[in-house]
Amino acid sequence: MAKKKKRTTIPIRLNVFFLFVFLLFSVLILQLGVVQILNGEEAREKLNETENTKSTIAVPRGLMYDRYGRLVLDNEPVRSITYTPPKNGDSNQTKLEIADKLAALMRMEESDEDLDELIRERDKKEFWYVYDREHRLAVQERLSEEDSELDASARYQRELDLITAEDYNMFDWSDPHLLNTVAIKKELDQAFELSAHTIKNEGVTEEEYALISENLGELPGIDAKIDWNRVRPYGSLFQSFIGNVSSSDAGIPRDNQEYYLNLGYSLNDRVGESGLELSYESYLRGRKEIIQYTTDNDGNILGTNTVREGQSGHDLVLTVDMDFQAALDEIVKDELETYINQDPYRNRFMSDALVAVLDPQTGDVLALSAAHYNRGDNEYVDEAYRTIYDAHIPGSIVKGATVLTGYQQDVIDIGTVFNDRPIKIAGTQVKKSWRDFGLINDLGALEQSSNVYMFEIAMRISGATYNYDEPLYNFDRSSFQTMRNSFHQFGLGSKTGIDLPFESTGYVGTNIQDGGLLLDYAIGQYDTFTTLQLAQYVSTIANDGYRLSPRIVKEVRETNGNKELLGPVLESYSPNALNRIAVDERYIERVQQGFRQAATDGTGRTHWANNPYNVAIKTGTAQNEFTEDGAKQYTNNLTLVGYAPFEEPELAFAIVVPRAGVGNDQNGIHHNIGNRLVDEYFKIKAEHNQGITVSEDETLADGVANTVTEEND
Amino acid sequence: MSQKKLPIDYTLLFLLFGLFSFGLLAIYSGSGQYAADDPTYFIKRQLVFIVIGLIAMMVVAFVDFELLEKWTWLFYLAGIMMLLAVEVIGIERNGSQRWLDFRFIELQPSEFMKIFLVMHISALLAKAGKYRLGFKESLFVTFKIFAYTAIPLYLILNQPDLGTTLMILFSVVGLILISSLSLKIIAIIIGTGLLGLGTVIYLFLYQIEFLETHVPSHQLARIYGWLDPQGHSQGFGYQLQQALLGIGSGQLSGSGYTDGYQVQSGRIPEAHTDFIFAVIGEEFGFIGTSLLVIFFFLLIYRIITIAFQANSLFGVYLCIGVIGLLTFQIFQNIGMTIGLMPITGLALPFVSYGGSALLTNMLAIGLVTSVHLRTKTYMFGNEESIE
Repeated sequence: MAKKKKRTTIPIRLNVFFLFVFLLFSVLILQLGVVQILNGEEAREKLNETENTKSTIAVPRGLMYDRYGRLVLDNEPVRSITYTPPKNGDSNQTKLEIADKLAALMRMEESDEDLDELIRERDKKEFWYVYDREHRLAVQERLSEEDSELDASARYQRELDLITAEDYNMFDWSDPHLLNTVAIKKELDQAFELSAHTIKNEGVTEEEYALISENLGELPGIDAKIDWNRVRPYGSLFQSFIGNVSSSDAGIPRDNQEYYLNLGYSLNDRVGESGLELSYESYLRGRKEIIQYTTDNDGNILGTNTVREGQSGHDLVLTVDMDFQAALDEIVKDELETYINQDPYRNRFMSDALVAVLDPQTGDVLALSAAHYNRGDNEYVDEAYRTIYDAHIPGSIVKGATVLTGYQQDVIDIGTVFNDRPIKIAGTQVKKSWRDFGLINDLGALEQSSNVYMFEIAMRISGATYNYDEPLYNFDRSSFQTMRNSFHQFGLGSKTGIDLPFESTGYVGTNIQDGGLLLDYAIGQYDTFTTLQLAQYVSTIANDGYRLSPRIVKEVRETNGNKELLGPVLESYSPNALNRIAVDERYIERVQQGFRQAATDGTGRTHWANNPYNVAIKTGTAQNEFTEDGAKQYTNNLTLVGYAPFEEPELAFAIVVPRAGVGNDQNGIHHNIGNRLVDEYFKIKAEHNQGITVSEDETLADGVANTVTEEND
Repeated sequence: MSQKKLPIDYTLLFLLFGLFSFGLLAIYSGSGQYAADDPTYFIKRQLVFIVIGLIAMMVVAFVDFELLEKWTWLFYLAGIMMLLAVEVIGIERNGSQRWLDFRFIELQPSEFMKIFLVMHISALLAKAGKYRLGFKESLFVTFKIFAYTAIPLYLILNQPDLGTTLMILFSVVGLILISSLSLKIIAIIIGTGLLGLGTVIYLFLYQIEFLETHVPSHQLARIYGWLDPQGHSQGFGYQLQQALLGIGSGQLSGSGYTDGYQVQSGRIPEAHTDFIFAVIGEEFGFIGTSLLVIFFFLLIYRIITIAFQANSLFGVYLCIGVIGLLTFQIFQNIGMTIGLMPITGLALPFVSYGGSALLTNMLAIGLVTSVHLRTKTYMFGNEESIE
């Protein structure tokens, strides 16, 4: 072997290697020094503060007042005890400990008997089973070969079956503390990880609440909270519009979770689900207070830090006068009952009466009322929501819109005369007015409710040539759209814009081939409209052509902590004009005149001529045919729109009574309701003027004119 | 060697007992969250593993290691067979297929493979002699070593088990470094290693998309968690953050035995196995951790001493291979709990709960003992010595 190659460097390399290992260990010690000595204090502190419990405190939702400041929707505090298990849940042992501690502080039921009833045999068996490991082992030994093969849940069931009364009677089941513990444990078992489960929220006494609050540190996952429940001083009155909030167990709606979470809600938050509670949610909800507790490892509170100040929800002042609303509900129910009972057979399909009353100058909803007769239970119930949901064939009350459409389309002018005689289009039945009026002008047509006058308007708009018993030549199908667009200006067939989450816009007929149907449309016998739409329509005419969106909320106010007094105004809603009817004012005045004459000399004179409040009306009797019990049934929708006083309208109303029996229509329920509601309105107004100061009425005419916007459908 | 004496090196045994004590105390404290019914369940089992491990160690130490030198390829082959068996019939747990089920015990072949590989490569290097080799010869030996290493490494990485893979790589590189291979080769290996590390860092910093498409996401997540525990406090960063908080809060003297808040509240996962160091750190403080590290260091020091004294080149390499395996495990495990290394599933040798790892580490100590017991000390140096 060559000498120069016989060198070994292994020992040197070994030393280098050892040095390297030594360095590695030095690095470890060094880093340990950094972690434990240098940063140790910081870690220690951080660890002590790790037990930061964030707690949110629910704030009361906003209240609602009626237009005279009377409390319509109130809150009451409810104490509740909840349990939120940690991630992956607590062990049975931990839950037993919590239940045992809680049982010393609260009772699930007041009396021992009720407590005893709460606990069933299975509960006793489960308690015995989890109480001691020995018990579980004992039961497992009782399992047969096949039992051991069962899947977990079936096997558990089998194990429970094998537990005997002798086993669980080792405990004294007459001991209320034990029963209470088991009852609480049952509730704890139902909770899911990281989600608050209510253990008790009814009848939590002040003492229980205080005791548990003081001992929260020893009760991991337990929380004592104040929640707020809605209280309704007026009972069910107007409640279908006020709406509901979800329970804290239901929380935010599951199908719209993203939306609410993005707005900063948490899953258990209560939100408005319907009515004003939903549409004014952003004002009513308020802002929860968030408090962060810094506790040490033993749960002692070291400090609190208000992360965010809470703020109660804002209050709403409604446009509705609860006295008038109550009176109207009574009138509608009473008249419906009376009318049905007058002739139960003929009125056997009649079950509803609907009324909407608006202030034509502001759009304020003065009252919405609908009575429904449940034939099965022979019961009259308040279903006021039908005034915005249910659409009915309106009949002649829409003729004001037809005439105005005629003016607008330049097919008639003030004083235009037509010959009212039966109309016959080939292949259809004869169409005529309730009487052949002969020559009649626009005013007369409204006063006497001439159908033929409306047919003439419709046929002229459609450009058709009419000859007796011949088809309508040159009928322009687009005339349907022309008529409907015009009606939309009044709110007929379009959204009224009411401040509620949902409203129906009625049914729109689809067959536009048939010219005869256009004639039906012109007299309110084709499309259907809601009572609110009809009220908006008459209100638009009463308000000189300005269509205002109906509003239930007048203003939003801040809370001042005193329920009796309204807080400062946060937002006040001025009337919102959606559009103005695109005709000269004299045409609208002409229709107003026609409506007034209908009350004094026309179709409604027997009911309205003597009414002292100068009411203008338009009557309607819509034929409502439908098939029921295998036969075609003929009924009438009795309808009425009107406003008063004629010169300076304060209220506009629409009344719909669907499916009234055919015959003695003039002895009309709709007229009775109308008369009584007008009387009641002015009576209550007079009372208020004497006694309570009415909240200041804004002067509207100027404001409205400035905010007119054209509505483009 | 005297037949009356037990085949034991008492210095090693003393150090091992020190480590076992640490382990048993920490396992009892750390397993609380998993063993509510019987708090002694894990230490009872660990005691059994220790006894088995001691017996295994003595059995190996009893055997003359020089007899093994010619037969290392047989062990190597057996190891490969077992790894292949894992590939086919292994048990999968936590997404890794690492275990073979032998009814009474589950074995992790990669644990044995690492020793068999160290043995085989030690034999290869011993055959190359103690004198510095030329470049060409070195190149040939290096190629052989890498070929023998690549096969088991591929199989283990495929399980996947990154921790064991890196451990073996570390040990093999260690062996090469102290061997008689040409300095050029060593320079090339170190250079390649640094270049590879540099590339990974470059990719991580500037070409993260490439890594995301080519590296399994759970490994990437661990690296993220390691680099930024606060930012990834929900995943692997969470474990690390909780462990760091716990160890840090131990400060100088610890929070007291079984009084570690982080450990006892279950915030540190696997506190009796992979994260056992966190128990010691939190409950015994810096005094405890540095004592443990010193014990480990003394253990390594003792093995190095044995290597220096050894007459057989094969024996020296065996010792260095074992040091490589142990050092990597120790550094990696402690390092990951204190934020120096990314998280892998490597246990802390002789301390963590677990039979397989303990058994193989004891086998390794057995080999070292065997080397020690067969080292003859001559008054005036000798031919066999590596000097």
